[in-house]
Amino acid sequence: MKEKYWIFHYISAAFLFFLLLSHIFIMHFYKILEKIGFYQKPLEWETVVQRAKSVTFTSVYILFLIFALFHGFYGLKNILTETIFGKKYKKHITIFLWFLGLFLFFYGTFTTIKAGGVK
Amino acid sequence: MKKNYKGIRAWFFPGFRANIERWLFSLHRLTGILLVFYLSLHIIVVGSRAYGKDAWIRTMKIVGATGEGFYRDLFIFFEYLLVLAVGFHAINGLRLLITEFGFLLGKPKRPEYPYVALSLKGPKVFLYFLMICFFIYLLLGFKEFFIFK
Repeated sequence: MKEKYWIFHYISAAFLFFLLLSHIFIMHFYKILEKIGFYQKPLEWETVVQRAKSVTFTSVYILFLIFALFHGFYGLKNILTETIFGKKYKKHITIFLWFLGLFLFFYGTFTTIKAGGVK
Repeated sequence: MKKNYKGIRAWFFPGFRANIERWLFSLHRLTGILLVFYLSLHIIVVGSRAYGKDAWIRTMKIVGATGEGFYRDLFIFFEYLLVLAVGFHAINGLRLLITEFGFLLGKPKRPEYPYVALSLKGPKVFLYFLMICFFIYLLLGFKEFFIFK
């Protein structure tokens, strides 16, 4: 099972490489994009609603949540359980991070889907 | 005898004699931890869009993503650091992915003077190429955040 988690850690990394860099360019490099003809203001409410109503964006966001949360929390678990403290409380740390990760996943999915219905 | 154990400090500061890969390992870890914390907060903050226009505008104002003044400038500075952390973690992560699966690894050869590991030449060249990519990304980010209005 441990190997499967490790493989998924790498698979998620490969997906995140493309997803995250695209996200960064769309959301944070919009002035550069504007210079080359892709005008959009990512934080303006109209743009936010437009993205929220798009099935493609909603699906990508949910995929994003799965990959990013797994990759991040699995990585953090590995870092924490390397310490003497972490070795001692490995089970507690793992359960806590799973709980936190699942909570963030469900909250993120809920708000992503709910945002599609706002006016 | 002194124990060969530096503790958590060595995660982030490997020492001046450490090679470049060791420094990249430390930076990868540091940016990774920062990004996990950021991601958790980010999910909560952007979740406000589900509660309507007013909630979204108010939240963006509270975190400093919109508006003007010192608080906004501070936000831009930290946003730039975040973008750098993401870029570094992604680019170095790509290197780790390529290295882990053995791509670019040359055939081992008999060691001869001056004993340079020829099989590691490919990953090393790739490392320098990626660092150049990161440098370009860093400059693009600087232009986006501090030069373009």
